[in-house]
Amino acid sequence: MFGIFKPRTFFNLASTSIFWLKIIFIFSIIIGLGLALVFSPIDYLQKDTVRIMYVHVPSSWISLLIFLIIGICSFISLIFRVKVFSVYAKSVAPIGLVFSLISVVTGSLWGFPTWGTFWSWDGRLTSMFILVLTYILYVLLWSFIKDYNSAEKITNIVGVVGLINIPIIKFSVAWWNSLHQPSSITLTAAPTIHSSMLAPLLIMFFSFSILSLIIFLIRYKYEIINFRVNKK
Amino acid sequence: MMFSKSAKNRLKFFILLLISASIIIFFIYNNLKKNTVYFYAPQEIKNLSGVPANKVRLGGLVKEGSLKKNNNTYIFVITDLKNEILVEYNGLLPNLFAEGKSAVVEGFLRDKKYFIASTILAKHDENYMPPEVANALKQKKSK
Amino acid sequence: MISEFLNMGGYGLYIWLSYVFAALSLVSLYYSSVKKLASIKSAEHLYQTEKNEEASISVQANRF
Repeated sequence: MFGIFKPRTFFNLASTSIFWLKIIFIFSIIIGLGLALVFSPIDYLQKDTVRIMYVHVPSSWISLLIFLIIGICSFISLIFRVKVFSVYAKSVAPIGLVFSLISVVTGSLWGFPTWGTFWSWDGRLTSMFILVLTYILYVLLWSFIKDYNSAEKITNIVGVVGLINIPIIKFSVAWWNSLHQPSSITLTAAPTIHSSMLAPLLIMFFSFSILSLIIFLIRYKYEIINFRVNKK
Repeated sequence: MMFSKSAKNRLKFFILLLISASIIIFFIYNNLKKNTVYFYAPQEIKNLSGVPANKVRLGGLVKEGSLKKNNNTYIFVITDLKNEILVEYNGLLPNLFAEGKSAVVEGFLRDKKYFIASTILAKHDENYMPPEVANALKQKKSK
Repeated sequence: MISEFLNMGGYGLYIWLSYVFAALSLVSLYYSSVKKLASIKSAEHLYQTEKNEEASISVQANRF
């Protein structure tokens, strides 16, 4: 049932598609940055600081999405012993770590001129901080445990357990009184972001997703070859 | 779908684990909700049994027309449109602090109607729009 | 004109720091990944020649 996830399918995909993905990325990031930094209007309250959101929000989304992928892959690897899923999770984790760091740093840089503080331990910021720690733990475990099979098992468990944090981050602004603003874009209601600001946000999200895919394919190729070399 | 027998067993074990873990987390979460509030709304302050002696945060709308400046001391009212609490603050206000907008103030309650703030954080809401749109909305509202 | 753009209504420092931090961390992630792959690329034939053995990674091993 996991036929399409065979290592070779992705391996060949990586070799042929990276070139085209790079071209798509370059076009979309140029449009995205142009809209975000030059052509989008200022916010009526935040003024120019709203431009930080075009990096902050897509990075946060991607860091959550990637952890979701890590969790699901870890689950499949743990239950069905399909080893390639651990390789997917291992390859994608550093990308999620970098995006979660970008999210936290740009969030602080937005918070200082807007809220008046770089950091405050409200529900959203605390749960996001825990996500960064989980990513660091996950990546470090892979690099510090020398035996592949035990590293695989332990990181799988971290991946599945860490999954609990994802809905907590998502709904922290609804469950608790928080300093962080509630979600502007939800599945149930119209977005509360004006379309001239929604456009750069979505294009930046698209660009970051393509970039993540490119880096993932490169890392995946490395991990698969490495897996084979270590077996020799 | 064809799973091997051991995979089925692992899945059963895992689902059992998941159910028990969610029950535990539900209880922890319920407890957390009681003990760790980031800020109190005026209504929640009213419902407290006593006046907390430690540092707390209070959040709500800054009442329109309530902000007064006296030397370096600001006095304004935080409201949830039902209850009001007078806040005294000595220091600089953040840029986005304004009447009719949300704010979180950090400090001590003197009594249930008077708050002495040491830090003020401006809270931003989930609305993002260009100034022209905001003005158009305002005019529409006042008509 | 350009300094006005860089100034960003007084918030330039925060905005440019955000964008620079994001760009630097993503670029270094990309290049470290490319470098890692290049360092092992000479072993790629190990993977290319053994098409039949790939099952060993993807197959369900029923131990445990």
